[in-house]
Amino acid sequence: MKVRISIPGTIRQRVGGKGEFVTDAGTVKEAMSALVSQYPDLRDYLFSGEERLRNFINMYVNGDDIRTMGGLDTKLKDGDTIIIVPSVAGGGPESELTLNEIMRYDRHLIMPEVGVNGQKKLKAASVLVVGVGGLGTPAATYLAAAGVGRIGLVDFDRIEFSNLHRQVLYSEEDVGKSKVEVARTRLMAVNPNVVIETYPVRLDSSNALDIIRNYDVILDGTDNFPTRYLVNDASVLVGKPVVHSSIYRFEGQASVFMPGRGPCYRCLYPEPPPPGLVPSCAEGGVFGVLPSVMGSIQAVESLKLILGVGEPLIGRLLIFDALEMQFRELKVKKDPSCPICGSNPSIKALIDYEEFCGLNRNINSDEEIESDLLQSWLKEGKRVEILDVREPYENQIWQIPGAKHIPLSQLRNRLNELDPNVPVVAYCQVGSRSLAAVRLLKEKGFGTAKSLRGGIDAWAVKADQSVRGH
Amino acid sequence: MRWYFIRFLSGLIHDIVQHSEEGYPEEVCGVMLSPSDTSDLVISLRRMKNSHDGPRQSRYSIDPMELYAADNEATKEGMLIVGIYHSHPDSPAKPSKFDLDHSFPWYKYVITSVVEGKVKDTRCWAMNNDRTAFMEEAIVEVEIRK
Ligand SMILES: [Zn+2]
Ligand SMILES: [Zn+2]
Repeated sequence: MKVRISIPGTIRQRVGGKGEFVTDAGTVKEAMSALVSQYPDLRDYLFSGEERLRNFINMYVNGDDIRTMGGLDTKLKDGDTIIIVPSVAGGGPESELTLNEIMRYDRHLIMPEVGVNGQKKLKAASVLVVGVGGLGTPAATYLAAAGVGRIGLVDFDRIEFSNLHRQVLYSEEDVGKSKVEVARTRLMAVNPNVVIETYPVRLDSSNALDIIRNYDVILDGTDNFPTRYLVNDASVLVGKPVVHSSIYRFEGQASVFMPGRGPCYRCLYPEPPPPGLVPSCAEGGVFGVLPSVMGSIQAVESLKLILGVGEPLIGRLLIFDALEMQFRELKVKKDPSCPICGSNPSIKALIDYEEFCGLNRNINSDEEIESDLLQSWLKEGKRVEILDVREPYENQIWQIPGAKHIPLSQLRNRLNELDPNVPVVAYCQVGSRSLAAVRLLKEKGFGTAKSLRGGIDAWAVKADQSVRGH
Repeated sequence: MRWYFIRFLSGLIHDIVQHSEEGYPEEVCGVMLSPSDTSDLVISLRRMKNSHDGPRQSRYSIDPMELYAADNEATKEGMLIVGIYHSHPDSPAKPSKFDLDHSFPWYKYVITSVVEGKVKDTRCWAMNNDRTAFMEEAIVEVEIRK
């Protein structure tokens, strides 16, 4: 059989050969013998020891790798072309453990489930922590301590005084500083061997794919529905597992959403709840230790995914009740008609998640009032009924002076307590329940009713610094 | 005593730096081309795709077929692939053990160290013939006048 061997420039240059060599051969091995007998220097470049192709030399017959066929014994036909091409690869030193690391991770290294290989996997791995708050701070701390090589932190927020009862990575002197910056400093102190990357941005449809793409595991520590759906969809689109948790008061949930292996967040919750129905931590409160339990569970699941050990929380929703001190588990099935991970997905790119969750949408300007304007109305002595729609235990903490109290749940039955001729300004903690109240009032003939934008939180900051002690 | 060095047309090192920073935190790679009769003068570069199919922060690989195509094109233009450059995100510009295991004595290897998105160091290495170690070569940038 007449066959042609094509030799790449770099190799032929070194051996004084031509780019092409034509010979008679029935197998690749015979063709190579003919080649190296003509150019003996080539033997050492192509073969190691006795006729074994070097590891990083590839040979293709008519475009097919001979390793997937008969190796050097691959048969040849008349007119076949053999291509020789080196396989060029390399990399950084990342996966080798230093002496410092061997000492630091000793208690990991002596466990068979981790060991040196597992610890190298952790070192080579990356986790993106979305939201560096109650869940994100304990999770990131354990990931850094455990030696996850690269940790990304996404959070737009600055540290607030009311974060300190649960976000134990931060201290009082940090109030007002960027969360990701302070977290980065603290985590570097916990373990200088890890790389901390910070994103002081609001994760949105324009940046989520680019950020998420760069990490192996996504740890969702967000506190709101739009970001949760965004993290889910972006991760499904680029095929990354999400270690999820959410918390409220004394209850936490956790699960792992692994594309291709189990359900996603949309399979579990196809639709977000209507705005205002499920209160956030800012609105409903959270027991300080709860996020630390749940964030630690997220760290456990992330490390297991990287190490490839144990049973990951895929297809299972873990529910922790701190008051009862009980863990329960629900099975979650993949929804074949899921709009993002189903067999015929309708979502193929990121959407507007604020709108999807019913936020920032259809709020008419006549439905809300800014706290500054309300403050000046009060100074002018304008007649206005201030209505507190929070639950009784909430308004014991503090309230706007002179407010009438009717919880949203009772409003429909207590409308007769309000004078339709006096403008009503309703408020709650952050302005979502009061918006629902205003819509109800307008429907019932209170055309001038308004909701205090941002709730009493905004009032405290903007209008009445004395309401809060700091 | 022999002086080891490699010459680059001015501007090319800057291009490698730029490529490394653009690709951070992943490794980037490319090939270095010389006239086929002057293999110690790099006159052109060509970016290659990092087609490693795991985390690319500490690994790169070039698809053999892409390399083959680049090699053929170089031949047509009277050039030769004389080396490979790649970046080391957040680690030094020295060959790793993995680099040693995967390198060839016939190429020069330029490595950039990219720390927090900025190139801090650019060095060139050549493997000895028994494939057991790298030796450093000085990078010399040259202006060519017409
Ligand atoms: Zn390298
Ligand atoms: Zn789904």
